[in-house]
Amino acid sequence: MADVAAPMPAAVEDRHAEAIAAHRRRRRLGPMFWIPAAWLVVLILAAAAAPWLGLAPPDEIDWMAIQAPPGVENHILGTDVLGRDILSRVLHGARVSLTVGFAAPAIGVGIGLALGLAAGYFRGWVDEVVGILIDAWLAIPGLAVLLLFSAVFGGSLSMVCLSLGLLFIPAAARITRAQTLSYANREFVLAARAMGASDARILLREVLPNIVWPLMAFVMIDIPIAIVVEGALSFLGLSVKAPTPSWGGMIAEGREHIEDSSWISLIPTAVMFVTVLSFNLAGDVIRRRFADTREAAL
Amino acid sequence: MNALLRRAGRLAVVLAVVTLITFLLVAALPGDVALDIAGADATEQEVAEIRAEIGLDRSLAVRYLDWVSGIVTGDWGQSWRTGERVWDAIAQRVPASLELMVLAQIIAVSLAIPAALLCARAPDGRVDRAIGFLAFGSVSMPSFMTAVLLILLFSLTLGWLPATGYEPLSAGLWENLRPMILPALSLALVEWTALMRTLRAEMIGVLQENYIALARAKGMSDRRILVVHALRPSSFSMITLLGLQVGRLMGGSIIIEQIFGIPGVGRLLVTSVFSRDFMMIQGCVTFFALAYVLANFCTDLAYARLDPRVRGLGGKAGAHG
Amino acid sequence: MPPTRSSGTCPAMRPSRPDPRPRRRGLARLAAALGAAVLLAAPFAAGAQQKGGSITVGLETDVTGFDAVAGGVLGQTGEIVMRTIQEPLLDFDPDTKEVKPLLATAWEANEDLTQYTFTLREGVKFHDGTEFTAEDVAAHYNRILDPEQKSRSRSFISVIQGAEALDRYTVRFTLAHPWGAFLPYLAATSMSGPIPPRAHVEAGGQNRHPIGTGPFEFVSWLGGDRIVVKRFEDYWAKDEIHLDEVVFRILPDTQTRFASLKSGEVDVIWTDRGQTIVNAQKDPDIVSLKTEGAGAEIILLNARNAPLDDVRVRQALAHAFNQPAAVKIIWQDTKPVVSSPMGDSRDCGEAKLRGYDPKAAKALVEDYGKPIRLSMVHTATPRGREIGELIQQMSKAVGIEVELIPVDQGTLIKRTFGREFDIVGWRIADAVDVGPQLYALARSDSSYNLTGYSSPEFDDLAHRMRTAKDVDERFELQCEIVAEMNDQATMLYWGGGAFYAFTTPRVKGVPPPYRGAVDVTRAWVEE
Repeated sequence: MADVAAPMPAAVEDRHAEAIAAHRRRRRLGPMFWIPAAWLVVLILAAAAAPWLGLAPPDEIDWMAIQAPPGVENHILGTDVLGRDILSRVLHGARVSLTVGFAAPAIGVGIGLALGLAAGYFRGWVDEVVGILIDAWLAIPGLAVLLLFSAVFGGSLSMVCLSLGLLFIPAAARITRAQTLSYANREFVLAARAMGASDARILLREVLPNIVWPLMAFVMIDIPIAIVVEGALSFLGLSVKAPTPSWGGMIAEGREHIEDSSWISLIPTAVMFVTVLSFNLAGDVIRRRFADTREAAL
Repeated sequence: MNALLRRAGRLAVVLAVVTLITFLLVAALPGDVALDIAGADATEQEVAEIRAEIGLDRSLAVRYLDWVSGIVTGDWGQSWRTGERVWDAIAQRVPASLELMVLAQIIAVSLAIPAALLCARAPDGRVDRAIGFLAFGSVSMPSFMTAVLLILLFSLTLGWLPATGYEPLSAGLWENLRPMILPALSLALVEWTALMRTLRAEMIGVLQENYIALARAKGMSDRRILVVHALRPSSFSMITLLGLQVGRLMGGSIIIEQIFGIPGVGRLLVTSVFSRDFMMIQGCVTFFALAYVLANFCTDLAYARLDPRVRGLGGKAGAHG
Repeated sequence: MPPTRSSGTCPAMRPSRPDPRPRRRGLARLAAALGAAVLLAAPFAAGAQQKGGSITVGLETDVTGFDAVAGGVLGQTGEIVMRTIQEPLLDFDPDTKEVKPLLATAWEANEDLTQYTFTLREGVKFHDGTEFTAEDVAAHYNRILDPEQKSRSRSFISVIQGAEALDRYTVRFTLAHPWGAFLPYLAATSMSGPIPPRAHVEAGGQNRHPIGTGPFEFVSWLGGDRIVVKRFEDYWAKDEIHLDEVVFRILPDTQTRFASLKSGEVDVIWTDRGQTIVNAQKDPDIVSLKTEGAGAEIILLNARNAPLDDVRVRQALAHAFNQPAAVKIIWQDTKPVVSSPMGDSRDCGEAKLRGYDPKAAKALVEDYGKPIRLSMVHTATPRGREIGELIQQMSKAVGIEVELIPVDQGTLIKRTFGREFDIVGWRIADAVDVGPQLYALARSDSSYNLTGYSSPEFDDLAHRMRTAKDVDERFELQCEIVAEMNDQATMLYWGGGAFYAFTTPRVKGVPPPYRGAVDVTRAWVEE
């Protein structure tokens, strides 16, 4: 129970998961998984196909329909302040949100994985340095880092993904480190070492395969976080640049008209909420499954 | 105590790294400050003079050491844009930020404890699941969206609470609290879920321990067991989590202060980023980091005091906390 | 207005006649603001103005500073605050459109109208207790006029050659040539008009701790949040002042600013957001104040930079821009569509405005032959974003690519003065006579020639306008300058001068905004 002194949220979450795992072991992927998953599949397909759905381009101004409410001809979800089709903007905005949602955690977990492997396997000064770097990184509020990054590197989609990805390094590195520590002294690793395998080989062949799956579960939690943070950034006007639409930006633009043209803000709000909720719900189900299988494996 | 000292030493190293990262990022910001100050029709010569005057002609390393030693001695420098002293500007804005975060935390805790108690009474029961789902909904709603909706409901439609502003405590307690309610609520509605889940899990864990079974055998009511026996040990993880949440709260407060027009450090940072106020950005980020590190250090102290087990074992394992 | 001899109320008369000004002002202004019903009641209300109380004014942006050099450009919101703290030599009467005495009680000009001698009000105290003298006036103007100081206000008043204190209460201004805009400019509440105490300015304190002779003295300033001023007990016309305190709250978000007005957290707001104006005018519990004046919302095209140095590219942008649509979308038609910034001072007709004509725009782009890529600097506000995205879309429709660069207000001003822009949103401020602004925008030797377009003939035209002795001729020449700018497409208009302020019913005595700025100094509250 030395863990008590190292109270990490992950540890707490794990205990939580283990405590309830017994209750849920035999549960199938129920509607709490399939309904959100269905929404996500529809959204991803629609976003991917957005340019070919016959919608107006997201930046095209319809002079005849400025601030048109949902349901008018040609604009199912209405238009915004500048007379741009909201459905088209929501779907094109989804491309941004989903790209960031998948790319940022992937980048962060990738880097965190490398750091965590090194720290957990080599221990000693490597561990110490990685620990300090991670602590330092954690000490700066994420949004502050992002504000700085967007100011330094500007608002291209790839920069947003990269800078957002950096936020996910610390947690990924910690989990990897903890996992690596627990595997580094297992029989099969010791056996491989006794047979003269190189460090790189041990890490890649013996340790990595064992910790990839728990990390994947971790990525599932990060996706909605990345979407939310991108939303916050674009809400502040610091994410992708106009005319590329983004959900946060749409919410911000419609805020001033929320009393009389509430749909301009509320539609992207609703879509973002349902999407994040879906990722959270589906992710939770998957995470529990991993917790179960991992427990069974140990 | 030795462990705590070691930990303090490590924190100093962490802070040094933080300031270095911040400094390098700010140094990489595009734009020439000296040109900015000199104005449109300045000559080369004048720009060079200004550059020398504010020390921009020195090497990065010298500038960094100069800045950091300033921070240690209490001189955080001066904004090149507004002429404000950086530390004064931050200190002026700390009360609003602090109040926002404390209020948010109070609301979050007072939502989380009853919810967790309800859940822990019958894990996986109907109530537990309903609250669990509610928590998912709550955490899926980013604070800036909650803020927009709260303003729409309570300020614009009902007209109960102001949509913006900050009144110092000297204006009266209610005057001070009124404009803080919506912003604090916006933050709390995201934060309470993590607290609730942790508490719930802890309580369920504790309920399985032997002494609870004993208490139950003695005929103690479930509610009493939960409140008296389960809540107290669970509060250890709560304290830890509260400490960890400081970081997230500060991040959240940045955008909430912006929306509600609260003159806090977060808003100062956003304004400074938009206006490329280099010294102010450096100062704000450093301040946030300092606050975060201190908050966690205090958490550790409180923890060591509350839980005797830590004093014996502590330190080493806490290295990554 | 004929810049001949004129004289003002004798200072000694003021105390003997209780409230002479509020009565007159109150009448005229309330009439404009509240309509005939209140007009009848006004004489009674005027006698029973309540002393004391505090009001809160919601501003859009923070003030960059109050020093005429370090503070840069004051802006509309800065003027609202400035008015309460510092005073200019002259006041401007919006009803008669004439200047009238303020810190100067009388003035006279020489034969050829190149020297003006002002008699200053005696016994006026600054907030720090020192006396207001001719030295303060001379030092203030000479400092702005000193090229070394690089004051942003210099190009507007550079006709003035210098100011000289003849004795303690007499100051003489020397002009390079007769200048029709001189007296109105002394009444301006932008940086150059209001007089600060010399010693305080020289000590470097004015920028963040302004001191003046105004009815309210500075108390505190929490950057980005609020500026507080309280009644100055030694004010020279203290009987006219009713409020104890004015709090200026900086509320950048229009929606929350309006919500705060509705809930009574704020008593007075300034706004230019169409949706808010439309909503506020519909609200029976809110008093609307409106003035239509000169000035315009403009877009500057930087003719220094390629490809905008090619007139075809500028003209293509002008023809691509649909002003009526922009005014409808951005201002909800609360501002007029204009072809000149002259407002009601002169009708310039079409003034060679290159109006919306996408075909012509496309032809010009084709004629130019190369791909056109531009960038536009705009504020990271809803207004800035909207005009930015409109320009971007309208340009895209004719084949011009525009990249948007959102920045804060201060950075926008810096970049504009630093010529670091292709396209930028700007404003010609409301004034009795926009001539000085046009002159500064037009002349090749002016630091305010932001678009960089110039030619010897244009310089000459500007010079003739400035030195014209006849008012009619002066305005006619101003129209010619505007026509040249329109034809050369150095600037586009996205709305004319119409200004709005809104108050809660408990606040009385706030006149409609002048020059876009609200004057709350003579207000009072009625509970």
